[in-house]
Amino acid sequence: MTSRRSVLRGAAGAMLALPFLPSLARADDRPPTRLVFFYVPNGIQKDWWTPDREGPDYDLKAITAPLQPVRDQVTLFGGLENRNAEDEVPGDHARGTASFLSCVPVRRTAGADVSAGVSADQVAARTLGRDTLFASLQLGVAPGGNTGDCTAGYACAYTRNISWAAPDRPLPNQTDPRLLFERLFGAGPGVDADTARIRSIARASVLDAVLADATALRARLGGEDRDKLGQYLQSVREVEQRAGALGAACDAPEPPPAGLSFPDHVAVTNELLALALACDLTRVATFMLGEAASNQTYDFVGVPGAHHAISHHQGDPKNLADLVTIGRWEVERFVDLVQRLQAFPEGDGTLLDASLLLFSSEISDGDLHDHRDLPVLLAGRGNGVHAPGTYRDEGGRPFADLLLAMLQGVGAPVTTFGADGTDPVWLG
Amino acid sequence: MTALLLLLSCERQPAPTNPGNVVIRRLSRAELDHAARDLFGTTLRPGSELPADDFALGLDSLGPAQTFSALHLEAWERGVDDVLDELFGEGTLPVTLTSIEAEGPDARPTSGAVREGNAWALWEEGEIAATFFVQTAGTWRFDALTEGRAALLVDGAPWAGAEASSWTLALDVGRHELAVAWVPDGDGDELIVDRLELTGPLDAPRPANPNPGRVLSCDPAVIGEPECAEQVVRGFVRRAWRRDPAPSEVADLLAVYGVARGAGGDWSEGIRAALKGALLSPWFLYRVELHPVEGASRLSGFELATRLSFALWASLPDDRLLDLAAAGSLDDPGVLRAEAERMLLDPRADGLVTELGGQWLGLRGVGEASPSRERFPAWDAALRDALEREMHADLAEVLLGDRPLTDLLLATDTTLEQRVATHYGLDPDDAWPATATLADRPGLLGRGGWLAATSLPDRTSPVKRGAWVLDHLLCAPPPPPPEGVPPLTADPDGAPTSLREQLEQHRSDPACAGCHVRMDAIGLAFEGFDATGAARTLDDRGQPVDTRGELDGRPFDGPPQLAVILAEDPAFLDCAITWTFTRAVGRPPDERDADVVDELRTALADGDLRYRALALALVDSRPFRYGSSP
Repeated sequence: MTSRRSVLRGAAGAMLALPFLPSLARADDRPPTRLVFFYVPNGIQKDWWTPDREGPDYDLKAITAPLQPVRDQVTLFGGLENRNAEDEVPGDHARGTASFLSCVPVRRTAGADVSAGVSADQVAARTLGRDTLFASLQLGVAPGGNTGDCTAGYACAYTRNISWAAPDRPLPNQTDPRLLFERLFGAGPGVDADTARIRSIARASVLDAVLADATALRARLGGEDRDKLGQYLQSVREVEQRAGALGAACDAPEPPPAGLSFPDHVAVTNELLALALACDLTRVATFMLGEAASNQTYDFVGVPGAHHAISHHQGDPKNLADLVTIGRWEVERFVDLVQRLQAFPEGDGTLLDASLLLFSSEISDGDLHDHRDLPVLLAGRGNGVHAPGTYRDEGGRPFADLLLAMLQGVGAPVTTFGADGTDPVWLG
Repeated sequence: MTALLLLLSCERQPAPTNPGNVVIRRLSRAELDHAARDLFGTTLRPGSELPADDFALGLDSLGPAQTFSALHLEAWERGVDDVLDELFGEGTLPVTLTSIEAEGPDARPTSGAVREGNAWALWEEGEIAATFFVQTAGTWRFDALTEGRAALLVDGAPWAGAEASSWTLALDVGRHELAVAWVPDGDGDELIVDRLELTGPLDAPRPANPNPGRVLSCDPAVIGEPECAEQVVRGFVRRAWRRDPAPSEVADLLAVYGVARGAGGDWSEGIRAALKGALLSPWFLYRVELHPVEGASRLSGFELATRLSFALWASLPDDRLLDLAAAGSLDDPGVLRAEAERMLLDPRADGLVTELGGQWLGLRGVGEASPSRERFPAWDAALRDALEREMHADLAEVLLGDRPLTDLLLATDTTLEQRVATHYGLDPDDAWPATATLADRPGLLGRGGWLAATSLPDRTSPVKRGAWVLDHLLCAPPPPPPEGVPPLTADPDGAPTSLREQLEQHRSDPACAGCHVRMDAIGLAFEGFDATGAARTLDDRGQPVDTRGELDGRPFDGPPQLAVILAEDPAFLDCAITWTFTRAVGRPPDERDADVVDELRTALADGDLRYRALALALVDSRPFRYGSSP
């Protein structure tokens, strides 16, 4: 019962007393670096965000106030922009989201031929993801609509996905906490050990059989059919590689219940993400706190309106007050994740010290709909590549420069990133 | 001149047009659910585990937009495991949690309770109560997230047990009021209550599959384990893969069965593994159409049966259809038509309503409507579901019944449950459910479900409603607005303005007028209905509702007159043809299909505008019966 409560109430450290995991120690005795990309929809009101003072003495505003307990673990960046999302036509939310971590212009299409770029998390996963059960995780809390009416002539794939394995291959978010739990820790008790062993052997045989089916079938197909089966084949191989490797590092906590409210859903996802990183099940993750142009209502903090509709605030004081409330709640969720990582000791420090967590949005101001001066936070030290605790105005340079710096910080062999990342931001 | 043209058209045998290449289609989430239902007789929805489907042209079943990832496969596997657990009578019901914030609208503090931050404090007296709906009888755990201990009351009666903050109790199906009450406590007189939570059922076994014999068609103890395994696997694969499997394919799955047996599993474990192999196979997950020759060719009997069943049922063919396909009988247009007629009368034709109606006519949007509970206290899940059932029944009457397609817009009779009748302002004490005539709420555009689905959580959006009508009913989606358009602004003098007055700004700007003249006129016609579909006389800004407008030169006032204009627009029937063709064939009609579309128009007109006439004519058309290599 205690552990179940902790799932909902934020005491991550109390839930699992993780021993130092020997598997995490590397030759240089340093824990591996982890990367998290935390996305919030519809922008942030900068008047309640941007500090007046640069440097370590930066001041907190209404939206950034929740940073107080971790301010020395976070850098606020001003003046970073994703110009790749700009265009003559509407669709800023879709473009801003699809190019959020890829920093390339995306093709304008309503569905049939989506094209974005390879996202930074996927580039990082090539380096960080080789030794873990999951090369990367894509998490979200919006299960995605059952209707095809997305936004302004852009496919739903653009508004729902920030992680892209290839220009035509968005990686969907996992939004069901129970399924996430089972992927990370296995289905748990339910069958006896002997049955579990039999099923594990049978499963390997099943995957072999369908892989053979698919390979033979693909050879008989042409054109685009062949590409579609290629996606299927790649997926089976990925699952096959994971088969049998479950539950190696950590004892499974109690699984989360179904039927969670939106705030509890976020809390559980934060907790499972922190556990996945602590147990070294993955070292790269994205978390979308909503889809592009989300119309989530925040009734539970007293904002009954639709987020996207409110974000076109037209300077209306009530809308602005609501946006401050939502923005602050979003920053609290980020801080919650930061603190969960901080609660896990690792090596000489904490899991947070080994991580880099990026917070930002697909646009800057909801009304202006622009992609300049994005709201950017970077938390954690990334094993010494980042010196947090300041506010820095970068004066108008590509957001891709920050992603490039993060990628280089984790050892990814890249010298440029996206369409305009050429000069890595100095992380201190 | 006319005679000459006639002569020419008679004499010249037109070359058959290329039926066009259709990109391979993965079963959508809904189609996976239907397939599981038809294979196993289950009510579980394993397809719903998958990530949201990708859409093109408003449909989730078109190949080019569909993607696949490891997450898709793992999620589907999880769903398949649930179905197999049910088949073999294993597994337990998932545990659900209902959490009610003490300070939220669903909790009821009595006197003595004091608001303290995000919680309530009970100071030497008082209770906090909340009502929970228990769907399965069994053992449940009730937690009051409190600081301090409390007494528990169940349905008003004190619970016989110690004061605590967590209780395990047996509950029957139905509504139960659970309350925590202040009790004297050694360490302080105050009880802080943060939230109330009910978790369970903790011990309920999953109901068994109602008809396991459908899949497990023999008794291994009677006919022998290997023999029975082969019979089960062969029969299952034929249904799941929609074709007769090759002997080697059956052998491959029996090898999987053998691996499970070899590892120590019993017969059921072996069958479980083989069935899982069949369901994870691309032959199940994808609608494969092979092209034996370069260019156009007639679909195989099995491929045609699959197109037919997915078009009309959004699910797998049944045994009869597979038998006809195997015998080559579907090549006979008479047989094909008779089958289509049979299928439209089958209960599985509900798939046409939920999938085509769900996407083309907006039925799916009802389930996603999310009016703010704070702004609209009358709205809840029960009302939403009732509105969905109402719209579903109305669409079914047109798509599957004898009503003309124009009744989608014009029908004024509808069957109301009490909850919907109340929502529509009718007397709740009348005998419901009953059929009512609602002249002010014609067709699907008068349904509360559609009106809610095309609104924002806290207000209506005439632009959204208008754009939806243009896109879905006239197939004339408005292009996105030009960049740099300033947002709607309030009156600079601060005087309250109606949304209509604000929207006038659109129409006075030539850059916007082209689209907004039609979009806004249509959308404003529905301003007499709020974001939950309830009637109103004042709009969201408190201004009197004005539903007058003009569409393509024809003035109207309100939905009934607008519906007539839309129903008389030839684009409406053409749009029905476009959505039907696209979903059934797997690609939109284009120039090469002009003749086919003409034939479909004629068939519809000759068939008194019944949807059935359109469906039957399409099934008989060349693009439906032929495929083409890329």
